Formats: sequence, C-alpha cells, structure tokens
Amino acid sequence: MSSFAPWQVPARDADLATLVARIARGERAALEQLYRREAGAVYRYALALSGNEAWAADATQDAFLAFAQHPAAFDAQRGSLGAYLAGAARHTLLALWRQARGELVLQDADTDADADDDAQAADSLYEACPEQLLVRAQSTRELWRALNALPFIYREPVVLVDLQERSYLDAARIAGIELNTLRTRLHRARLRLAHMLGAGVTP
Amino acid sequence: MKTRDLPEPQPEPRPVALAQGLRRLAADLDTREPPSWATLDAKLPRPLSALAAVAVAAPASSAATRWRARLWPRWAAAGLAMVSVAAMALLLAVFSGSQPAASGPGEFVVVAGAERWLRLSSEGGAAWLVQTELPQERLAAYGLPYDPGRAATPVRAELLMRASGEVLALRIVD
Repeated sequence: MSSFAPWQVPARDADLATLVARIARGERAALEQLYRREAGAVYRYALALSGNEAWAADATQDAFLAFAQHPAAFDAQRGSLGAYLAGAARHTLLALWRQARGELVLQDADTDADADDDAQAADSLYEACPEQLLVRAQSTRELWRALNALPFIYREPVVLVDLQERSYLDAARIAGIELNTLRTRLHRARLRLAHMLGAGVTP
Repeated sequence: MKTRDLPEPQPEPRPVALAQGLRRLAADLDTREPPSWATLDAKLPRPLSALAAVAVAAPASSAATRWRARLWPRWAAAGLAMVSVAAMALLLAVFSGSQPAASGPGEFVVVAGAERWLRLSSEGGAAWLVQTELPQERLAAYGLPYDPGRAATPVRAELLMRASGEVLALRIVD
C-alpha cells in the first residue's frame, strides 16, 4: 500500500493531486487553474459570512496566497481542498474582525441566555426543518439583513450548509467544530431566523 | 366617502417556507463573482517560487495565529514590528502613481500599486516590518532595478508586508 505525501490526494481526485503538485513546483498556471476552480466558492463563503466585499476579496486572495506559499500544509485526508481554502479565508476574516472591533467574534459556547431563548422557541418548533418553518414573505434584502443579524456562530452554519450546500463534514471542518456542534448550531440558527422573520409551523 | 371608493384591502402575503427564503439567498449569492485572477496575479512575485522566501516561521501558540505565523521567516522574528498601514503612509512620501523609481538607501518604495496602497492607507489595518536579506535579483520581482553583475549579492532590506505575505513597500538598508 503506497503512502501519500501530505499534499497528495486520493487517486480518485488525480486531477487535483496533479494540480497541487504543480503548484508545489511553483507553476503559476496551475495556481491560476486552481483559483478559477475554487475562488468562487471561497469568496461567496467569505462574503456571506462578513457582508463586506472588500474583506471577502482580501480573505479569498489571502487564502490562495497562503496555499501557494505552503501547499504541503494541505492534507487531503483531513478534508477537501475547497474546505481548506475556505478555512484559511476564515482566519483572515476573524483577524479583520478583531482589528475592526477589538474584540473576539466567536463564542465557543452558548450563553445561558441563548439557551433560554432557544428553549422557548424549541418548545413549539423543535425538530422543525426549513421546509416546515414558515416565515413572512421577504425581499432578498430583508433576508440578508436577517441572516447578518445572526451571531457569527449561527450565521456560519447557515452559510455553509443552507446557502453553499457543503457537506456537514466539510462545514464542520471549515468552522473548526465537531459535527454535533455544527448540527446544533444549524438547528438553532434556523429557529432564530424563523423567529426573526415571523414563524409558524405547517400542520 | 362611499365605501365602494375605498381601495380593496390587500391580503397578507401567504407565508413561505424558510427553505424558500434560503434558496433565494443561495441563488443571489451564486451571482457574486470573486476578484479576478489578474488581481491576485499582480500581487504574486515572479517567479512564483519567490513566495518561499517568506514561508514557514516559528511555531505559533494557537491555531488562530498559526497560519499567519508560518508566513514569517524565523530569522526575521527579531526584526519584526507591527505598524499600521496608515501610520506608514504618513511616513512615506505621497505616492504619485508613477512607476517606482530607483531610490537611494533608506527610502521606502511602494510596490503594492497606487490604488492598492491608497485603499489600504485609508482603511488602516496592520502590516509588518520585516528585516531581511535578499539577493539583488529579487528586487526585480518588486519592479525595482538592480545591477545584473551583482545579481546574487545579498542586500539588507526592510519589507512592509501584510499578514498574507503581500509586500506593500520596501527599502534597501545598505
């Protein structure tokens, strides 16, 4: 059984493995190819998370710069390259937030107040999925406003799973959290959104 | 006023599933395009392998800073200082937008591009002053002239860099 170098990906993704190897050799055209392939998803993740086009652009370019500097840091066994790049963009965003606000953005655990709010909402909406949660018809702008009003830890799962349709595994890796934590936060995020947008449950 | 002259009350819009709203956001998000490759390409050194000059650093204490720490040369740590881009802009001569000319020792030359520099200067933010040694031929990557006869001869320089490794300005120290 052959072993892979950290930057190699399983044989089923030989194209990507070749691309990464070429970037490791300093091939500019390979980095361009990767950029054209992955930059859209990374940028949209950063944009939806931050609501700031300049930050999203910086975060996207920083992610590719960092990868090009050290492609060996990517380990295909730990997740997709797209998830890796999105994670790198996330680091830039958090740094920009700290710089702008001088405070931590992330909350590692829900506060007791959060738990109380969610408990009240959960009584009637427990296990409700987005197809069951009814909201008032909203313009796209109002929907974005509601999403941006969510705390970061709840906005992120919605962006990753509901907007970008990433797998739960990739989403958890990008966010740097356990799978169960992602599911919990996603559930709470959807409840909060439904609450903000005027919710009910289909019978 | 007769009641038949009053406008008919509009019915409340029917509620919609949250999923429908999320799909609408997803569709809107899909229309957003990232910065062009040309924008990133302009920031990359030539050849691309020159990026390795600022790769890998002392180990960081937390995951949040590890990605940033690995961009800095370990041996430059002693000469590392963080400044705000805005403060540096005050110290540098106003960038007229012309091509950077060869300057004497001690003068910073902005290499990021006028538009980029002005935007970063107005936004503020942090940058790093990194003391380093470069072979003279590396100056070409920043659009600066050098003596081909001394291409491999190292020069001491100070780089004003962002955390991503992007060099904003440079000056030759000796």
